[in-house]
Amino acid sequence: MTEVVATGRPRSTGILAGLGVTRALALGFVLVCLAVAVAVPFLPLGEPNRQHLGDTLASYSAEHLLGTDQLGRDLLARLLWGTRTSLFAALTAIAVATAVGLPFGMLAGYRRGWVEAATGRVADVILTVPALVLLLTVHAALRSGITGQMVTLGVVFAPRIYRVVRTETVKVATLPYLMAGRMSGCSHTRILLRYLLPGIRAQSLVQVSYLLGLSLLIEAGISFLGVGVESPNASLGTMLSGAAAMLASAPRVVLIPAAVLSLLILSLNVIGDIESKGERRG
Amino acid sequence: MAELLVEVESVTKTYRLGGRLARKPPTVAVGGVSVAIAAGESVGVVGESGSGKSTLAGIICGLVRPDSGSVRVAGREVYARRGLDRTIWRTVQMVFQDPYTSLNPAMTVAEIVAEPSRLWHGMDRREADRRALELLDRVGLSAGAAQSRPDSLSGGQRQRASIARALAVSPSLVVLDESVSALDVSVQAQILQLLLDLRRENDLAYMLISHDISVIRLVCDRILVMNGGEVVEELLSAGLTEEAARHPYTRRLLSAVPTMAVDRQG
Ligand SMILES: Nc1ncnc2c1ncn2[C@@H]1O[C@H](COP(=O)(O)OP(=O)(O)OP(=O)(O)O)[C@@H](O)[C@H]1O
Ligand SMILES: [Mg+2]
Repeated sequence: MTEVVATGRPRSTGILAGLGVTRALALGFVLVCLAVAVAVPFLPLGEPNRQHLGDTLASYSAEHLLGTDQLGRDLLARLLWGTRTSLFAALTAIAVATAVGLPFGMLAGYRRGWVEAATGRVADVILTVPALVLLLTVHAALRSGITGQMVTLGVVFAPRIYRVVRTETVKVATLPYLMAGRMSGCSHTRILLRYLLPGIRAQSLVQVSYLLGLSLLIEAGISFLGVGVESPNASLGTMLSGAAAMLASAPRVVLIPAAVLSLLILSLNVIGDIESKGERRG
Repeated sequence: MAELLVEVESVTKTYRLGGRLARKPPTVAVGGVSVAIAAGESVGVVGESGSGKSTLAGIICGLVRPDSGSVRVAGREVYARRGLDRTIWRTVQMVFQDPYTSLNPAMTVAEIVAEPSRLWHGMDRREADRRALELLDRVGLSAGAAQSRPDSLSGGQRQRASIARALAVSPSLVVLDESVSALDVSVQAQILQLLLDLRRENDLAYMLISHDISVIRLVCDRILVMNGGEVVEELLSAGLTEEAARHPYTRRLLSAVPTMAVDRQG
């Protein structure tokens, strides 16, 4: 018997297949930042909040590889700890948004009917709340710190994940292989986990990747305003706010954290782009 | 006549495109069809595109709820007032028309074919895998193809994997929706031979949907001709000639029929 290999619809075997240089760099940069974020406590770094008052705004040296900031704190230590704080904060928001948006989105798209109507209504209501106003209010009312702010942001983002997941689920749910799975004896739960989830993963990751970038930006924004990470603790946002005045005299102190933040956000958007291109159905 | 496996009584299914307010008239996909299939019987359905063959198949398999009429499988009402009797899928299985969307792309072919054995028959993983490989071998898929995902298989290979999946349930009726028409002639002959063998071994009944009446004559005892959502003619395939058919569509189908060599006796 001849085994003819399919010619229709060639498919990449993973995210890395067909990856261009830009995308490889973007993915690499995000992975390095994540690795650093996890490894920071084990790196031989100075204490990030320790002030060397006789040594403010020092330039690059063996002792301070990236120099010091306006309060004489080691810039490299603050940059790495700040990246960790910012990334973990953004990941908290995404974790909450996904934990809420994904299951409700899948259920709504799979069951339709009143489940979709009810969850859709709630999502619409949440979407009308301006994120920044809510964050300022929560800060004023609860003072729950950056974690509280990011959980709040996660709730604000949940409808966006919900919508993408629901749309994708509706598309996949009409395909005959789901019916074949039901006929094979799969329960609804098994269909959701083994048939639907893999089918909606790519598009959902695009949204997650994009929202992760947005969360980083919002963390920076609210920390800059003093309602996110509290100084003296380092995050990419507090580093910018503390050093904003130094832009003319010591641009390095502002530009380095700003560059890391921008690159991270840019990279996350580029990664989202690959995933959507790689998996778009024919 | 043997015990009735499937009893379909005047089922109707109407589709309204674009919701209730649309101006387009609703499509009557199936209008008042009654069919009975006995255990071990093999029924062919022919009809032009859009004549309601797939819709009727879906209704019989518990996948499309009819607007009216009733469907009984092994004596049990399929579309009870609310919900659906899931256990009919132990009895009735379907091989879908489009091979590109009827297999889960996230699972290997062997996993897909092993699933019914585990979920319906409670086999453990090893036993189910062994049976899956056996079935895949019978439909002519190699161990290599079994370990790959549907994406890397050809349409014909996928179709055979779908057939193996349906057979893994050990059903009493398999509905095959254009499942063999797309295959190469040699593969087609092999699959038809397999269907005939299984029918003899397990008293399996078939409902075979096809544009190709030569295939149907080979495998089926009885032929239903559908047109515009209705069964317009019912024929016995033994000794069928153009003259026996009354409906013009059937005559046209019968007028140019190549024959195929498959040993019906096994
Ligand atoms: N889900 C659906 N929504 C709307 N209309 C449908 C749907 N399924 C079928 N129809 C319509 O019902 C009619 C019968 O369709 P069906 O698929 O049963 O035909 P068929 O005989 O299987 O055709 P083919 O040989 O092309 O597969 C067609 O007019 C089709 O457009
Ligand atoms: Mg059809």
